[in-house]
Amino acid sequence: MSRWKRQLVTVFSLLLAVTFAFTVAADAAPRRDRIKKSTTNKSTLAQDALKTYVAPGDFDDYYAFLSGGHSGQVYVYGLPSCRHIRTIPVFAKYPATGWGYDNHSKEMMGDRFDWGDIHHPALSETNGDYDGRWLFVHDCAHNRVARIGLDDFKTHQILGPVPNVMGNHASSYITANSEYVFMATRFSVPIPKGTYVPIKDYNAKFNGVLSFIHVDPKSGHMSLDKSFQIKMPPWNYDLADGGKLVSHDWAFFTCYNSEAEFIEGKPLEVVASQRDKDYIVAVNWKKAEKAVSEGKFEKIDGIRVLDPTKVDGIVYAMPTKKSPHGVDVTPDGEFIIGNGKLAPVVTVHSFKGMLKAIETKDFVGKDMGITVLNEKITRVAEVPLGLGPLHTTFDDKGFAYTSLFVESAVAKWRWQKGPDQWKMVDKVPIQYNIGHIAAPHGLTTKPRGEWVMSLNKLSKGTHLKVGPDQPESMQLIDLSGEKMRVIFQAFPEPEPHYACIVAADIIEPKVFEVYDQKNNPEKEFAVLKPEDARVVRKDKNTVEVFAAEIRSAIYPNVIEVMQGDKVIFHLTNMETMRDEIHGFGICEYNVIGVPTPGETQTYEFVADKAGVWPFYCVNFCSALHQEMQGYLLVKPRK
Amino acid sequence: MDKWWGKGRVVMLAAAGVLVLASLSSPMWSIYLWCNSYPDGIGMSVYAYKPADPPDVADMDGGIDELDVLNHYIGMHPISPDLIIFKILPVGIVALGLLLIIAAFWKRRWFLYSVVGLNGLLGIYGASSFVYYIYSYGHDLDPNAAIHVDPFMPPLMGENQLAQFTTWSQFELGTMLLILGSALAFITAGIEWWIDRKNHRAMYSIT
Repeated sequence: MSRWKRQLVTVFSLLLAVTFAFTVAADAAPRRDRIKKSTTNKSTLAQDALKTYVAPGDFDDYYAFLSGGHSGQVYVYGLPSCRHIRTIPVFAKYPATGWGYDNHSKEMMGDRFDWGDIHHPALSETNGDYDGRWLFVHDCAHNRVARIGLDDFKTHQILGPVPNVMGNHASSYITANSEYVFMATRFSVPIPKGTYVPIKDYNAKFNGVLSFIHVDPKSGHMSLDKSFQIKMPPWNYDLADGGKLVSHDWAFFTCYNSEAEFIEGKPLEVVASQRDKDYIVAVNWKKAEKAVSEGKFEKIDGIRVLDPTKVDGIVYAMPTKKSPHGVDVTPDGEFIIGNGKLAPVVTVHSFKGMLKAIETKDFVGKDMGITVLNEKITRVAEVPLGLGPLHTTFDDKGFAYTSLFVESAVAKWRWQKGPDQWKMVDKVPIQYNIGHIAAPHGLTTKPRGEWVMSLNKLSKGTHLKVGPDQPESMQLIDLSGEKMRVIFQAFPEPEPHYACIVAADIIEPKVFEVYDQKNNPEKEFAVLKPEDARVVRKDKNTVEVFAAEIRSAIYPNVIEVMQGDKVIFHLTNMETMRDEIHGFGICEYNVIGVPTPGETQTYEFVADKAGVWPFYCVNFCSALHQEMQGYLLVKPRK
Repeated sequence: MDKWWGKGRVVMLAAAGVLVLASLSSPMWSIYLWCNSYPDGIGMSVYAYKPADPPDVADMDGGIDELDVLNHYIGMHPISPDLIIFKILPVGIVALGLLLIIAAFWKRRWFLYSVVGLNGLLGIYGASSFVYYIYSYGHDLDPNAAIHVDPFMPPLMGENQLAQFTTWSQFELGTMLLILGSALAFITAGIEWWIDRKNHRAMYSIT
């Protein structure tokens, strides 16, 4: 009997022990801690911290221009500190600088849209390197492109909506001497815009368009009459890069949905992912320019459009794995890199191979009228890097850095001739989903190395909680050691896609901080002495005000108008001292202006509300800023 | 000995029944996945009657919904609560648990053997269809999916690597309770059979 008991007790204890062990193991928390990587030791942390520390009073080495996505703005950061220095408003209103409220900026923005979607800034280039003159940005939503001056960090031109191009995503990439800024269709439509075609005719009657927007080499002014476009099959043109040096005459665009279909009720993510290879489209823009100048174009909606199925030798397609996202040309211009997105490789085509295939007519056929080159001749390597390659940038030592979205990592690999050519040499994990990747002068002929900036698509809880709306993340990767190291993280406003990073000494000497009266944009309305401030009645219903601000008064400080008057209000900031920015706001009127020192601005409004309405300086300026006010008297009409 | 076994049998079978019923309260199996962009992991737990978020989902980056969203890129079907196993298994477990409790008090040897037989069948069905479903989720991938991956067997136990994910999968308390209950039932039946055979021998040796 006792033997039975003993056996029973043994069986029970064994079973209980197993249950207990499993219950303990079932707690997931310890496993998470185990898999999370261990913390870096303190001395390494201190060294890392010093690398990005820029002491008060010191300056950063680089400017980083981050696109602001659908905020319609551009953010200026300093590198390596990752400090936000400035926001440059472009397509959206920005009362902080008065952008979108004065006549000049209102006219530029137009009255139809007050938002835009900036993805890829492009700095102007001379001989393939940044020259620090202009920053071009595009509007993916409304097919516009804008130019920011880098002497005053203000928007100077907004061009568009440009005809025929739609969902302008592969923009604003640029040729190596800033001859043209690219725009391209991501969402094909029937052209010209306004044409109605049912969606079932997508393949036959929709078109993509590649645009080459002419830039005046002196003024930077973009004009449509010198621009041209290329009419393409309805593929989705994704990203672009201009050729460099040997490949200077060429432009490269990636495309997905070479399936050329859009099916009602069927997600494009499936439709556009059927082919194993899509294309990098190579355009000989120099030849296209010549053909257009010889009259080989058709005017569609007022712009010259070239049809590559009718003019040979302009457009070629290079098969590239798979729905490729970014296309990036190496600093020597010799290799064209397609980032696989849906394939774990980057495809490297050689420019020489491309020319050879064209010269020997080594074609595999035509796809929707576009000549497809034999990839066996163009392709020199498929470099396996990891999951979801999106973008590649370069350093000064012959290495390329590719962002891996799915894997959340940056892969370093060698593109230049050497022992490890076409091999990955390092990989570093990023703590969120990486999107674009940027490096100082990364996509120019003279990359500077030092840093790689990892921009993000999803910040994945890497910040203090701020509710359902999230900031974005960017991490700074130090290239100084043998292994890449992530050493800093910042949280920019939504939503930077790409960034251009340029050495500060290229920009800084060109920047002015006070307008002299030669470059005051509205100098004809300027008031340079307080006694010249005046109110002029132009006609029965119009009053023109010439006003001025200088510490700490607004001249005139009483402005009387009749109810219903249209008020044209010129305001000059008379300061000659840097940072003496004044503002002007009228209480309960939607008027705000922020003229910078030496600048004259014009605001227009209708004085529709009778009464006494104070106006004041909205931008803190001095110890007596609070006293800087006046009154708008609006007399009721009988 | 027979007198003592009379009580022991009741306790063991009742305990087996209770353990089998209790197995419904906890997940049978869980899988967790981590990668750089999901530092706290996502995961799924399978109960006998439903697929669900893991019990500690609040501390994680996501549960079964996020898993389904990610799986759709490679063409894996959504983890469905409508699978036939989620209908049969809970009914089987409840029935087994109750029958074991009945067997504890209704002392018919044939009845006990039948219940234990049912237990065995249920075990074989549960284990094999679980493996079958795991296999087919990893192999029956939509060929039109955006990202093509080779068919794969999702790992059943331990730490593994799956694309960018480090995975951890394991059988959970529910499975253990079920195995424990079943084991008790089998042991009880075994002892019963052994005693029965001994008594028979004793009878024959008298005659």
